[in-house]
Amino acid sequence: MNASFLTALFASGMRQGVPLIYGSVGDCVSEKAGVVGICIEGEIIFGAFFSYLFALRSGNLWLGVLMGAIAGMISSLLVAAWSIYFKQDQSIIGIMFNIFAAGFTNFLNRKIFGVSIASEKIETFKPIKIPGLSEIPVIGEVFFNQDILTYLSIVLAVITLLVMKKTKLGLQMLAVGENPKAAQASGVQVQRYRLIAYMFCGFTAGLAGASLTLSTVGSFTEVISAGRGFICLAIVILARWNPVVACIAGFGFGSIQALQLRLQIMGSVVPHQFFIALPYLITLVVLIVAGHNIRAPKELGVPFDKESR
Amino acid sequence: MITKKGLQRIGILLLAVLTAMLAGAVIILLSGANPLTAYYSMLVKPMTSLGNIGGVFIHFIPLLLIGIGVSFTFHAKLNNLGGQGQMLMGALGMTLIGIPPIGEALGAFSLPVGFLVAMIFGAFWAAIAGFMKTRFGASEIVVTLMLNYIAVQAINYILFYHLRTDGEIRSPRIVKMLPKLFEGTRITWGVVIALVLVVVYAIVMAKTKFGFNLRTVGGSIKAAKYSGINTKLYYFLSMAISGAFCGIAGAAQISGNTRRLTESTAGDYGFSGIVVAMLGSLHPVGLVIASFLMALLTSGSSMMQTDTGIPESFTQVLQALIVLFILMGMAISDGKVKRRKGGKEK
Amino acid sequence: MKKVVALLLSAVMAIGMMAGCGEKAPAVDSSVAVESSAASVAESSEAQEAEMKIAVILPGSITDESWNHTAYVGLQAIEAMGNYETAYTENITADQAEEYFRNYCESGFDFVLGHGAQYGDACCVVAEEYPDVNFFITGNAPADIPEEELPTNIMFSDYRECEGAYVCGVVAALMTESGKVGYVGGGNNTTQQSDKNAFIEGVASIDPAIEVKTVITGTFDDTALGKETAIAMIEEGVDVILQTCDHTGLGVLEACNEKDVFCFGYTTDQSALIEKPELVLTSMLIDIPFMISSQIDLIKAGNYGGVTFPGLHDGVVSMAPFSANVPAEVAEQVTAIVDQIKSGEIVITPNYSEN
Repeated sequence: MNASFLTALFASGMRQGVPLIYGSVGDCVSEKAGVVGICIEGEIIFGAFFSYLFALRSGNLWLGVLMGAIAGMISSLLVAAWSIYFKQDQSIIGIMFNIFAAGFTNFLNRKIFGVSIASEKIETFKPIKIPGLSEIPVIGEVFFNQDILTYLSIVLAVITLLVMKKTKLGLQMLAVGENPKAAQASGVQVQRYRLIAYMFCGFTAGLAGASLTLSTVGSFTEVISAGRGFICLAIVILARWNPVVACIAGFGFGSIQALQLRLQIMGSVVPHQFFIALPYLITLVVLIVAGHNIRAPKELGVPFDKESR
Repeated sequence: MITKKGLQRIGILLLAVLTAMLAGAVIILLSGANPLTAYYSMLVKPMTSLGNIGGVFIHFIPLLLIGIGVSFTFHAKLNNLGGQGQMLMGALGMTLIGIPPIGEALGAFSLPVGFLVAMIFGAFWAAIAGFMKTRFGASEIVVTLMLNYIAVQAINYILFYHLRTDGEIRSPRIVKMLPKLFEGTRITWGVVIALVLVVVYAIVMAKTKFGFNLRTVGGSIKAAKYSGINTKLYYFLSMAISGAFCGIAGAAQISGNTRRLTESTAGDYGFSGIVVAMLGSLHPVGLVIASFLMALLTSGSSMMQTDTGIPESFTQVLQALIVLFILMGMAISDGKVKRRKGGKEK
Repeated sequence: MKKVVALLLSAVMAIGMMAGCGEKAPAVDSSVAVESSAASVAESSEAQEAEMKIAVILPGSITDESWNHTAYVGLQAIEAMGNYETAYTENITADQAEEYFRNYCESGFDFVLGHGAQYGDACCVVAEEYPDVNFFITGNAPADIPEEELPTNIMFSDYRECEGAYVCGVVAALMTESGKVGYVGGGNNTTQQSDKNAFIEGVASIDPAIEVKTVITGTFDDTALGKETAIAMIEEGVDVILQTCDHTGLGVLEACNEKDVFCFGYTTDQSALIEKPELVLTSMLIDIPFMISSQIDLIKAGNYGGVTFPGLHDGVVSMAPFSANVPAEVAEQVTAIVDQIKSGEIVITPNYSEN
């Protein structure tokens, strides 16, 4: 366990954490407003596909990032329509939306790129050394020699936290998740706020997808999200709906994933199945240790009907 | 019997399905197939022969059982996203009892014993989530999700190191299978078991103190907090019972269909079961209808793929559209969308 | 009213998105299998009767540039060969397979292939009910079904992919400078396990002192994870990597490309997939078109069924040309070993155990 090992481990953890951070920052907000983000998984796929498509066709990575985020946002409107306007259960919509997203992007992918897409690569974002800070041992390499999307994810988390805690918009958002009736009574448009929450969540999930294709893989492969959306749900609860803590939790989860790969590489008598399950086992342990009395937003997952009762 | 309102509701739902099918037709046309033949394969053909209906019932059994299972937790306002893991554990229980030498020693008794063990295994796996919820206040959404991943790896480990007989990562075959309800089809007594359990569910929820208390805990009955019910106990029990049903689904899958345990035994039923519970509004009859519908869509989409060559991605989109539009129809017929004074739903 | 408009809008949007993608589409026309088979089912009465209707059941997606993609390409090649009609379905688990086998039989297919040993059970059940249909399983027969009970209309072909992995091991051992080579697997099936063991065996046959680092990722779909896995290996000093895990493997190739590390292609010549093709030392190729077409010949000859183990010797498994990075003497040595395997001097038995 020397410094170079730790550096490599946490740098990999950071890279793997980025999509999780994006996904969970958005979900922190939407859950605070009473919306469970089961649909994140699907939105990540949408974001990943469209960011790849636009980055490849335009040759501009930033356009890709933007379009990925917008695609995630637009796709979230579909979910929002069903859950806000039809007041249906968010989990069933989320599940069906995820199926829809996987099928739909596969369909588009094949229509546009055929079945041999992997050859069309894009140049991914390259790491940017931050002068000075990147010289710090271990930490410098882990946090200050990453690509731009990594830095953006941290900035996004901090800004989101500030907006949530300090602005009227944020406070009203909280009210919508805690006590929508009171919020409505005090003149807050509950459904409009939930719509905003949905769109923000879709936006960041789209960024998560973009980070997968544009900073890691360089191309789109089917089901590229591979369950990350669900991990985001776990991270959000572990982080108690705090975007900055979610940022740390995402980094932590990525690091455990990086650790299990390295443990396998070192070779051991422990079956590989144990290592693959390790990140999930540790999540459970963290829930036991740190998860005491986590109190979810009161009206989380409950459709809001302003005429009722 | 059928009121004007009921008729209206059915009409709206049919209209919703029709809308979804119209949207779907666009997709099918895009894929170069004829929508009429495609829809015939998807919605009619599965019911044209006893053999084909057998294929529908293969999906119907686990969907209904998991649907019932998760309904218990929904009554308590809990989420059980762990159907997959619990079903796998149940399947493991059935397999352990069913394969030689235990299966041979028990003979026909291996079935009831297997179902019992499957129930216990499934209940145990869900009870972990129930325990963590009540003891540590850990979110059951996260715990059940994590337990899915862990179950898959645990099953993989057991198959890999302990159960496999040949190269493939799969268990040996169980000795005794559930008898067929109709010879020459795939319809087994599992259907009867599932239907009996729906009745049990209906009775428990409607007639017993347990059911009453469970709904109280979930807050669908107003008297809630003042009645002195041990809510934690009910959280725990609803989770465990839910797991027991998912475990039974696993046992039914092994003993009625696949005969051996593999990593993929639970398929997507865990999530589809939640869809069933929601579409069926947790009502016993609703659950039966919803699980039949989902089973039809699943079986039908396989026929559509094999008959017309439409790829899986299309049928996924189509299935999602149909369910989403049905939800829309339900919302409209429940009056959740119209602007109206004092909607009756909460 | 506003809400009704909103929901109508969302519906229109849903449809519009689909229609929109259709308009973007015409530049590329790739969903060939769909069109051909769709047309044929609809108009089978008027169209000229195909000589044979062939269907393949696949465990994954045809875009994986690997196991499933080869089968798809094979199917395309068969269709191009003449009067054959083909179809395929993707992402089928072992437990769903029975339904699909049955459906294909019901739809009048004459030859149904299950591309994976996991389909053996389902195939046995269905094959008994449809004695006129021929079946093919890419893999060994289930060991606990006695051989005399196996339906005679199934051919089990457990091709010796591990021979290719062994050769890759030899190449890796000859090419490594750090003395560390790596293997990335997807997990959970025997082909993977025997590939891994044969790779280790191949490395050890050259130099037992070389370390083989192995990782089972547990998924065939997670490209990003594959990339991180390879990077972790490279950071440990590994300088040649074999991957056999479809989409996940694509990530491995990507990492090798980025870090200038040698790697191998799996099932198809994957050197075209990265910008530095010469890093792909060689690829182990599986000739599925050949495999299918040779089955068709057997069926026509009326001599079908049983269990076979084709490998390098039969041309089903082969090695792609070496890249420019492989020195001539290494290439010679490897070719000699390939020849020895072909002639049976070196026998590689699939080893399904872990470690």
